[in-house]
Amino acid sequence: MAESTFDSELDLSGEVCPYTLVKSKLALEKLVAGQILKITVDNNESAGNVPKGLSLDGHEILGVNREGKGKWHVTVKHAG
Amino acid sequence: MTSIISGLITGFVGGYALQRGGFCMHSAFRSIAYEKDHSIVRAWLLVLAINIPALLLLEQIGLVFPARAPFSIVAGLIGGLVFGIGMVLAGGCASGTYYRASKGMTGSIVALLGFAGGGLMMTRGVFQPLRSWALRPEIPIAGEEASLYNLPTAFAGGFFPGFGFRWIVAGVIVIAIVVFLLRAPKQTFTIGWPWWVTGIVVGVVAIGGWYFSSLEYRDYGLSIVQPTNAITGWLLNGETGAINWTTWFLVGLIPGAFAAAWKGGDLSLRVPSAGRLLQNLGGGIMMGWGANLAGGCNIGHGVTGMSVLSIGSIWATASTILGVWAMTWLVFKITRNQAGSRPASA
Repeated sequence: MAESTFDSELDLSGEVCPYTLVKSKLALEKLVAGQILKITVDNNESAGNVPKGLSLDGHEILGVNREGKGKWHVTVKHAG
Repeated sequence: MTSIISGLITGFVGGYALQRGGFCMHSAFRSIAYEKDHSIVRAWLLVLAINIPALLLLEQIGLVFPARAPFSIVAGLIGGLVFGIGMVLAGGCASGTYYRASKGMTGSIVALLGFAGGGLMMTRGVFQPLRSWALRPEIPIAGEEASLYNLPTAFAGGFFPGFGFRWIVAGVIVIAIVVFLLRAPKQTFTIGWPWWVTGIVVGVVAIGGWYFSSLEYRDYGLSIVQPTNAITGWLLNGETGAINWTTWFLVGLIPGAFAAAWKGGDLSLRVPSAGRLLQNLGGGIMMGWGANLAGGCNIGHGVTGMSVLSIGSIWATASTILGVWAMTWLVFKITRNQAGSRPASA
C-alpha cells in the first residue's frame, strides 16, 4: 500500500501500553471516516497490540511495516 | 549445582517464552476491562489450566508438597492494589518488566531499580512494621492454608476433602477454562508466538518451578519478588542465605529474554522522555512496595499461587487487577484531557 499518503501522523516512540493504544485511539478520534493515520511505535509488542486493538474497534489496518530495528509504522484508515 | 543448572536453563526458556509471547500480565489484566483482544488473558488461563491438574497430580503422588500463600485480607488488598497501580505506571508487570528491560527498554530498567528499592522499603525499611501488622491475621481453614480445595471445611467443620473432591474442584475449573479457550477468535496481527504456544511453554516452565524447587525442599513454585529480594540482599549486603532455585531462574530469564528479542529483531536501546522515566521509576517503587506487602506478584500469586487454588493468591491477584483497572481509567482520563487541551498536531 502507498504508505506515503496519510492525513495525520503520530510518533509513539518511547511509549508502551497503555499509552500507545490510548493515544492512537485519541488521534483517530480527531479524524473523520476515510482519513488515514500513520503511527510510529518502537517495539514489537506495540506493533502487534496497536493494530489489533484498532482493528477490533472497527478501523481498517492498511499496513504494519517494520522500518528497521525498533521502528514500526502502522497505517490505519478511520472507519467512521 | 543441579539447582543452578536447572534454574538457569528453565529461566532461559521462561524468559524466551515471555519475550516471544509478549506475556505481560499487566496487558492481560488491563485488556479484561478495556480492550477487545484477550489473547494474553487466554495464555494466562492456559498456564493455569495446565498447572492446576499438574500440581494436584504431583501432590497426590508425593513429588511436591505445595504450600499456599497465607490469606491476609488487608495485606493482599492494599498490597495488590498498590502493585496494580504501580504496574500501569511502570508499563509492565513484574516478569514483564524483566523481559522488557532485557530487550533494551530503559523505562523498564529504571522500573526494575524501583521494584528492588520498593521491596527493600517494605521488607527491611521504614514500612516493615506496616507489613508485619497487615500480614496478621492470617485466615486459615481448619488450621490449614486457605484454598478452594478446603473451602467446604469452613462451612462444614467435619468435612475434610480428599483427593477425589479436589479433582472435582480442579476438573470444574479446568473445563470452564478450556470451554472459554476453545471459543477463542482467530488471533490477528501476531508478532511472535500465538497465545496458545506461549501458554503451553510458560505452563511447563511453571511446573518445572515447582518440581525443581521441591528438590531443595522449597514448597513453592515460580516467583519474581523473592529472587529479586535475594539478589538485592546479595548485592547490597553480600547475603547468600536467600539465594535458591528461583534466583537462578531469574538470572537465566534475562539472557533468555535477550535472545528472544535478538531473534525477533526487537533488541535496541529505547529511551523515553525524562518525565516518563520518572513515572516508570515511581511505578516500579509502588510495584516492589505492593508486591512485598501482598507477599507476591503476578507470578508468585497470579500463576504459582493460583495454580494451587490458594485463596490468598486469588484475593491478591483480584486486588492487583482492580488496581490496574483503576489506574488505567485514570490514565485514559488524564491523557484524554491533555489531548483535549492541546491543538491537534495533524
